[in-house]
Amino acid sequence: MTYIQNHNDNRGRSYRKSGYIVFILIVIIIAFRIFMPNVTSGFFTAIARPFWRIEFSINNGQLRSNEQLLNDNQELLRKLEIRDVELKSTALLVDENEELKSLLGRASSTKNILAAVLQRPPIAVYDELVIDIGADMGLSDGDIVYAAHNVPIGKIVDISAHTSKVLLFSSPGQSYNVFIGKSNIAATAIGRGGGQYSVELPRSADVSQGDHVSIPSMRGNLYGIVGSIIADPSATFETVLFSAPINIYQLKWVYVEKK
Amino acid sequence: MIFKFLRRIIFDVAILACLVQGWWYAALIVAVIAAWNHKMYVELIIAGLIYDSLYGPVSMNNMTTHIGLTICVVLFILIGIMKKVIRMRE
Repeated sequence: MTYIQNHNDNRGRSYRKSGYIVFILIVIIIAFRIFMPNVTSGFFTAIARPFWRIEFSINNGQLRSNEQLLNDNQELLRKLEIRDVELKSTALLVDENEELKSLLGRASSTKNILAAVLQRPPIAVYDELVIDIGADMGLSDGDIVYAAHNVPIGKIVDISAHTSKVLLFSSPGQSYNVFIGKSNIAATAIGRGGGQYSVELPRSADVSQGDHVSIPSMRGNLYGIVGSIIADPSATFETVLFSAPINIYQLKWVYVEKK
Repeated sequence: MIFKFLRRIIFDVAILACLVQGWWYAALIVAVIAAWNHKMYVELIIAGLIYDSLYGPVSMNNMTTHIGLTICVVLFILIGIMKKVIRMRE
């Protein structure tokens, strides 16, 4: 007997077979990602790092002509001389501060390391930074990361050989204790993403726009500046919105405070 | 056949470049186009894995740290179903 071959059946079988293969692949990938996350992260970051470094160098003008670099050098030297004078007076104050702290038994024993920001929001969907130092510089989980002027912006969460990820304090859902306003009202700030935070305070709290927000520490770091206050006359609480004093979308350099 | 294979490689490189640059939106568009034009485009899922590995906080193992992979798996399945339905009608 002769049978006519059913092409639809063959195609269906082929689809099913490919479907099973893909399903198994998905399961393997998900298992790999969940049970060995550092392996995939380390591997792909090692591949991406050279490209990020090149991009960073281009963005920072490190690939410019010799003449341009010489001119910039001269200009920077001139600025450096001016800053040197300013720095000397600041250094005096820093020394005095350290001296007073050591007298009170609170001397600073921390070490700061400068790091270049390779990736930052909004390029990365996750509210975090990728910096160019990692285990090679002895970083550890939870090290605090500061922007210019000692503004704390996040903490180290993942460390690869030569890069690390910094989870920003403003990441959605993250909460931290802060002091707000001139009367240092203690409150819990909740991250809203993109360097923005919100705090719930009683309506009677003495907080106004432009007030400073700091974190409880010896250094009294500026954490944010109150941007707006949302008050509903029928509610007993008001929502204070504040943002970091620096623009996290423009960060090029940060420094990490080693524990 | 070779043209198809080459086209697939070009798509792969383009997606990888977009991911390294952090242009997730561009990577997503290119990946969707590629998945529509190629059979079993598993690179879409791998792209999600790469994105999460590069930018996701891996030490915090919860669903929110697998956004890329989740979106890509969902897209992969959706595109597969849509392709099947549309081509069956044709």
